[in-house]
Amino acid sequence: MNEFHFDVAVIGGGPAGMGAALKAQQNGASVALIERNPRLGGILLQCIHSGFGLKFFKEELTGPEYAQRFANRMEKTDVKVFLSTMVLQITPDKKVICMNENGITVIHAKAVVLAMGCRERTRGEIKIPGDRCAGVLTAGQAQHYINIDNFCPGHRFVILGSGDIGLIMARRLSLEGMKVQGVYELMPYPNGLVRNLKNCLDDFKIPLHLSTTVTRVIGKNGRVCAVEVTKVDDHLQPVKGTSEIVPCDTLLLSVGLVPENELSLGAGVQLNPKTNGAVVDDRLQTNVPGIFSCGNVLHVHDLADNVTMEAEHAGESAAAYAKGIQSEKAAAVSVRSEEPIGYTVPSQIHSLQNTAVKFRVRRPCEHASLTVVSEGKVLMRGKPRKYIPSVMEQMILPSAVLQKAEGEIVLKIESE
Amino acid sequence: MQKYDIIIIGGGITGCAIARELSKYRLKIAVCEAAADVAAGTTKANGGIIHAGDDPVPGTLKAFLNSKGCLMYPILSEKLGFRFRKKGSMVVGFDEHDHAVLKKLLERGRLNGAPNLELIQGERIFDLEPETNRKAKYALYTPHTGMVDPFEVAIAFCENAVDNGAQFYLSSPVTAIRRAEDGTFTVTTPKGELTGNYLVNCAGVHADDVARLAGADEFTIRARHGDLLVMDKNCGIQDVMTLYPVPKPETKGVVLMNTVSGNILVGSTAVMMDKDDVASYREGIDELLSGANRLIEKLNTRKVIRTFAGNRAVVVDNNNDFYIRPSKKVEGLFHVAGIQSPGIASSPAIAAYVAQMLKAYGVPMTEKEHFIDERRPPVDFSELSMEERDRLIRENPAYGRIVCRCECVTEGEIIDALHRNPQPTTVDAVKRRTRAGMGRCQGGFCQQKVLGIMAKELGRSPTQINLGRADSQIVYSKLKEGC
Amino acid sequence: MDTKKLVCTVCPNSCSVTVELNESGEPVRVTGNRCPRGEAFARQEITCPVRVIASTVLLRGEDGQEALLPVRSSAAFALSKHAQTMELLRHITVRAPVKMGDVVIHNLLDTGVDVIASCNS
Repeated sequence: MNEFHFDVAVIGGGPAGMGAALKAQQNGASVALIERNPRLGGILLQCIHSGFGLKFFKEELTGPEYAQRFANRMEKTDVKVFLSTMVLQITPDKKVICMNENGITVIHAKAVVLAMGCRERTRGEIKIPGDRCAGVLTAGQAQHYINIDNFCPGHRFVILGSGDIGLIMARRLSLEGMKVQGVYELMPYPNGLVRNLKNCLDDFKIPLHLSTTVTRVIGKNGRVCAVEVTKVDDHLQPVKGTSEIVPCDTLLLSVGLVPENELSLGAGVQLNPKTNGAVVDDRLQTNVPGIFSCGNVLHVHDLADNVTMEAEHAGESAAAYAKGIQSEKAAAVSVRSEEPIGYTVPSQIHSLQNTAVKFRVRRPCEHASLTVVSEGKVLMRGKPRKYIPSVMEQMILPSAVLQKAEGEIVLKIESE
Repeated sequence: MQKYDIIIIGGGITGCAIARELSKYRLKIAVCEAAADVAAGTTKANGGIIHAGDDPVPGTLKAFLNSKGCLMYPILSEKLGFRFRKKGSMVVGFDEHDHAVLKKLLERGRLNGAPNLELIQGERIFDLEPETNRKAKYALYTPHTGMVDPFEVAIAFCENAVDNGAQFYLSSPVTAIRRAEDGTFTVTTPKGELTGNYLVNCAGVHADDVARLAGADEFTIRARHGDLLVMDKNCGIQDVMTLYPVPKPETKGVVLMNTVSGNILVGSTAVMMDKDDVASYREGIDELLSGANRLIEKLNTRKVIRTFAGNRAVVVDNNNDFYIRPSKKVEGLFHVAGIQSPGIASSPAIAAYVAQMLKAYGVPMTEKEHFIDERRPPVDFSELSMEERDRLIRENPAYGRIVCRCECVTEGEIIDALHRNPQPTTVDAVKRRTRAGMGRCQGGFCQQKVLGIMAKELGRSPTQINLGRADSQIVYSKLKEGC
Repeated sequence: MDTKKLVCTVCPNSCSVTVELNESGEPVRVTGNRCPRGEAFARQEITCPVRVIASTVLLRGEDGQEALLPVRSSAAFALSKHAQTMELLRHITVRAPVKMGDVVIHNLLDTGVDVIASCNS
């Protein structure tokens, strides 16, 4: 078996991994990045649409362009990139065991950055009954077939879920000459960004059906021939007598993303059941000292730019840890949220400097104010505005507020 | 026209076991299977419990073959290289009524000769299986209950039968059967005709239809439909023994099992349905979830990765027993029908029983001198140590390329599966042999890779490769034609 | 006077923009935008909606293997010309090596916009 020693090992070569590796390297660490695919970029490589880079590069790029820019930066550094290499195990003492065509490799790292991204929820997870036939696939799987493999995976599509990937695929399919019968969304509101609703559905006159879900897959000779769609009530339960049969040969699922933390669990990393990502502090460090997490493996983002910025922070923290700069001290403040806020990242804050806190609401809130409370005292109250679940929010907790906090702060959203 | 001594109709675990058993003799054997792969019907859609023989009604054929069959598994597992784990089972009771039923089950189990059964209570239940619902008061403990992946066993039987000369015709539904004056049968399939001196009907839920094709309208089969579901390996529960609820008169209830691959499997419901309906139903899935939570309260039912369903053959007016006998109407035809639970556990004994039946009937059967009783087991990369993996990759770099990341399946394993006999030709057939696509992403990441490897190894375009059943095409034309 | 409500898609802020139109349907006044790009977008959207198109073309590798090359238009152009563009892209083959930004189609359909490679290949 081959063995290597590095200050920082980054797991995953998508936007998070590249962002973290570059920043760790800039901060003086020796860095290894391990990527399972033969080229850097991760899921960006199949996201050929534009809309990336507006925040980070101040210009609109496609996914492959965004990835290429980082890959170009990577080339100019001495970051050791292991391509076509799969990480099999990460131990709590930060041994990264991976494999490729040359055999098993063990990388001994002082710090590890988890940047494995997420995967899509499947038909099995949401338990859609009916026939199990060809023609039921996740939006990302269809995206791979169309954008990478050059294959048409169907002719007439029904899309379940109005998340961004589903919307973007509705446009891709339409552009490529496939028919999209409609997009169906379980919730009473759309789950994707507004601009995607407009550019991906309205431009192509694709109907969006809210409060409606697919209740049965109907197959014929082993391939989908129709789906049954049904309206749901306020408790998201199908309403009898409202079913309709929609003929199609493919059902595309865009029903949510789940951080892929199987390796993290093996390393003893504690997960937050709300995000399915690691519990981290303001340095993006997990409960395992020296293991950091960022990007979609930490919590699902809606913009790659935010992933990059978060990853840079993780890379910086990892480099500091590897160099022994970061001291172990108890958290000064813990962060908690109340409904309708689903979660916060981080959940622990050590430094009392300005700290970015990210969160997402679980349902749309019109004209609502974000408030920061500690020990019953309101420390901060934002201007009233709209919050929607499809947008990951970020707020800066000013140092002054953190100084005033007592042990715990609570993030709330209060509608007027 | 191909001439055989024996034609077996149906390549489920029963047909495969019989083919393997008969291949010990100097017989030319053919198996006709309607689907594109063996084990694609009832066999793939059940729990895979190797029952210890305690449960069937004493004196039935089921009881006899179950107790014999389960004892054959440990040796078969070693010889044929399939996984068999003996972890025991408990029928879990919650009150005095359940206790009374458990006492009857114990009595029945002892009458069947099942060894080491124990009626236990209190803490002993949780000592044996700490995950059991804390409200459990009594349990019937059966230490010898085992588990297999049934399709893995069927494929092992099939490959071993092929190694011993049996021929499998896949995608070959039997559409007509003629019996000539001299007693030979001609069996028509879309791929051509075969002739054989004897027919063994192992056609599962369609065994009555096959019997009728042969002119033997002597029994009717109805299908008992069952929903099942599989949980993520990370569902928080691991390595548990099989847990049953106390059975009701009409059903054994929802059982919670731990597959040999490490998933929790919950099944199955029991509703009489159309023979060809293997869709899953919302009501069934809900019943499974609540049933599973009754056995293990803390089971996180959100961690389901797949639901599926299968049909079990019930021969009408046969007391739920197996129907294994020479046809009452057609000479040279043998029925192996109504093979429902515990069919997997019984299958090797069924095969031996059928061989005896044929011998007694007068089929000339001479044992071969050189029966190959072992199969080259497939490599299971996920089970190897790091040192073994390293060595294997250095020998063959294809084992260094992970295709299915959820189940840790390498390209080497897929290529090996594609060059076995019979050759798998569908994505599902590859999945059943290698587990590629069986994990939490359900092929979301690896299906296109599997498709690419298959296209290369089979010399076909991906557009010509099906998911499973005929016409289950995965991708159609190329999008960009270029110039 | 007629008004039309639009969502600005220039950036993820997705401002709700109201456009006042005169009798001939031309935009007169734009409100609700948080930046000047929003006004320009709204005026354009009313008169002739434009979008960036992103798709793929066939790529012949240096080893002769076929793959796809992701491409996009160098700028937004009339939505009405997108279908025709897709047809063009279907029948093009690009030869490797390609660098990000390389022009695949020059002056696409006389729009003044190029089709460019999205990555190196």
